[in-house]
Amino acid sequence: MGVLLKIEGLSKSFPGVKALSNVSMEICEGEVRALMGENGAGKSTLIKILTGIYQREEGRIFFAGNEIHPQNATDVQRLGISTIYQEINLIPYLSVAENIFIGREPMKKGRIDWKKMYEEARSAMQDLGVEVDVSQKINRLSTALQQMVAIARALQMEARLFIMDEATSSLDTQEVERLFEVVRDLKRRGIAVIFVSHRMEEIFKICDSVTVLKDGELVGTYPMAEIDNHFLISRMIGRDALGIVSQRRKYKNNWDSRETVLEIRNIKKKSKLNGVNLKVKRGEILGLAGLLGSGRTELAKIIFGEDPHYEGQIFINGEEIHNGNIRKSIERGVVYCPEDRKAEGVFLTMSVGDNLTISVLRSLTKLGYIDKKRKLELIDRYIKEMSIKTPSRATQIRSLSGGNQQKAILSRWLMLMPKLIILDEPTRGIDVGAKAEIEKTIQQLADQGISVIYISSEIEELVRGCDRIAILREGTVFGEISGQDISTEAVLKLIAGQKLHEERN
Amino acid sequence: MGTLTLKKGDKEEFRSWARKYGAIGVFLLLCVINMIFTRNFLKISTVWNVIMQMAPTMYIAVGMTFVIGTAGIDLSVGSILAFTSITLASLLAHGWSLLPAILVTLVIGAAIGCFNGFMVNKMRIEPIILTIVMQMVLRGCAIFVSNGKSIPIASQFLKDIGLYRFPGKVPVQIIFVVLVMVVGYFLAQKMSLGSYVEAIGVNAKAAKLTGVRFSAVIILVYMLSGLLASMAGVLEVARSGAVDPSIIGDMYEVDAIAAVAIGGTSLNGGKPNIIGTMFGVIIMILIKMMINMNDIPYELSNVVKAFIILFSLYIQRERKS
Repeated sequence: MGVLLKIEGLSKSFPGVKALSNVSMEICEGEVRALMGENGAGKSTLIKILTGIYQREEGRIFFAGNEIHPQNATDVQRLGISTIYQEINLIPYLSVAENIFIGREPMKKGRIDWKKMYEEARSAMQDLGVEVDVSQKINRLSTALQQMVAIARALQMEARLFIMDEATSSLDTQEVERLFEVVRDLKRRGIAVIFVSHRMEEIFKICDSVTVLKDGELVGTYPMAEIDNHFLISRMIGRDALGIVSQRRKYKNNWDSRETVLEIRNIKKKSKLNGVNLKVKRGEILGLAGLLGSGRTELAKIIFGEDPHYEGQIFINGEEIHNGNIRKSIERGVVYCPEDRKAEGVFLTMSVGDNLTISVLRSLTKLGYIDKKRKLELIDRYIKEMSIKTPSRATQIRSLSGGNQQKAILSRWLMLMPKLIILDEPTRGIDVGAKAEIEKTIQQLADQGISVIYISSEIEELVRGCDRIAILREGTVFGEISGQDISTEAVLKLIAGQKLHEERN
Repeated sequence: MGTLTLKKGDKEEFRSWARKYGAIGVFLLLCVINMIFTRNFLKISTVWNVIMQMAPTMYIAVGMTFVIGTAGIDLSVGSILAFTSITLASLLAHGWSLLPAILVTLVIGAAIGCFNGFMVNKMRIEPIILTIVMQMVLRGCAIFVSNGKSIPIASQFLKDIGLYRFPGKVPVQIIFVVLVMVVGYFLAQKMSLGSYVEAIGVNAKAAKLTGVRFSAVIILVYMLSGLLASMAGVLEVARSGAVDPSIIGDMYEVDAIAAVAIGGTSLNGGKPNIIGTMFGVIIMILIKMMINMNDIPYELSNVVKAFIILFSLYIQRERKS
């Protein structure tokens, strides 16, 4: 098949950084190409140049044989390049059909031909294997369905190259699978896809080849069939990956002698949870696995006290408490790192230092007056201990990488000496190197006696790092595995709703 | 997600610079313009004049800085000023002595603010809607209780204080201006309140999840705003010697918001910048003076202010990344 996109010697710099330096690559029709690299490697810059958000400084881009000069998003769409983001750029208050045909509505006698539009929209969605009411407003659909609408729109506009930038990061396993079906279908139609994801398994599953960038330079392009996980990681971080990927957590069996930090009995929440029982011991890492919608996040919110509307009992250190007040939970030593770091975790325009101390501030004040010296000491100590990479404590936290922001959130809670940390997707959107560091930190916390509830969609991560994994399914604990019984296969089986063989006795 | 790091263009740098020092820049510019065009501008009496005039606005603007810091807004301050000064004038007219009358006035101001905070926080009414309603209601109340007539101040002592000048023609208002500045600066910079206000303004959801006393802070800032507005009322009354319920404090909220915006406190919420607000208030006064002293129609001053507000909003506009 012919070459669809050809990039030659692309360069771009920002004040103080060479974001992209002499990068060349070619993508053929019907090829699914992964674009990988750590944060700051230049992936986004490359994509933003392709989509006309940034202007290149040097280099040439050829698309379908012609040299192109992307100036802005509409321009690029007209050429046939469409981008599917994690946050989707559809118009929330318009219907599915309107979104698909926006700007090119079928007309009849000077009016919009609604009947035709709905029909065509329906068949466009059916082509993608989705049955959906096309007169529904976009904001009532799940992220996954919204993506499908975005894809349908792009196909309507005769896109020949799709750029999927972290498109899977807010999808659950089934939704990812459906998206991949669509990608395979696109492939058959000769459409090329540039696929950006942090999830290694996905890359291996769907891509034909991978282009690795590091520090703005091209490391190389490799066919997927010829490489493995370790090779890829080592290319991305530029050193041998074997030492970085964290080891499987050591097996311990003295749990019975440890005190129970948290116990929940028969927790129910209307249509979300139907009777969850769990125990967490001191220093234990309990993984919570399950599909999106299995009640993981709802359970976390109840334990943290964010959601007061629940039934059932919660015991902290053997004492029954009524939950429903975040501040009281924090005082009891139960803290929560939210799933959506940007929206609920960090204060983007505040300094790193202020982000770290916001929760501990009350104990640093006397009658509201801040003990500045103690505050600064504490900030410096944690920046150092948690090795948060920041130019200074006064830097706005938004200029830090995702991994360092996550470390800042963890530090914020560690200052309070918590008993139980609930981590909701702590490594989402974080690059490989930082991920390993976060995982290591979590291990260390548990070894110091802090209990951890670890929620993640990445089963590998749970398998590596947990002492015990509880699998939630349809609002109850469907199964639990611990210690040496933990394996990816076992977790997957339980998630899928099959009982494990061993559990019968 | 990719990289959001280290990618601020020169434009962005100019913005953050302008946001920080814009107020001082405009201030200097206005000084230069006035020096050239306004006769008798370069005199020490001009400084005293500015201080005397800025006192009420300064009180309101300090309160506004905190409210805006939480990503809220308080449009009712001008009317709180009107209602509380009418209250003060009537109490004095009914023979109350000065101190209790002032005390009651301030308590009413704080209580109205408290109500605003409660409605915003517990009833979840948009601050802009709530306070515009309160603006109408309180102005109406002020006119109603006074039958629409101007009430003279019955306390000679209060009027004397309002016009008192220290040796060297230094107006008494300087004490009050310095006082509110110091307290405001202290609250914003040295106390935890400043950090909590910023946290709520920047990311309300995260603030709740990190255990910030969300409701308490919201109610407190609106209460502070109401209290400071009533204090502004007392200052205004002391200087003018009478209260006209339909004029007093009218459009003060606009001056205050403009002052806060120029002063660099983000209208989307963020760190309350009291020093910036002070320059903002001075700028508002200088515009007024420039217009008064050069025989330019008064109405034009609003046009100038409007441009200044637009400019500072432009500077504050966040670039989407």
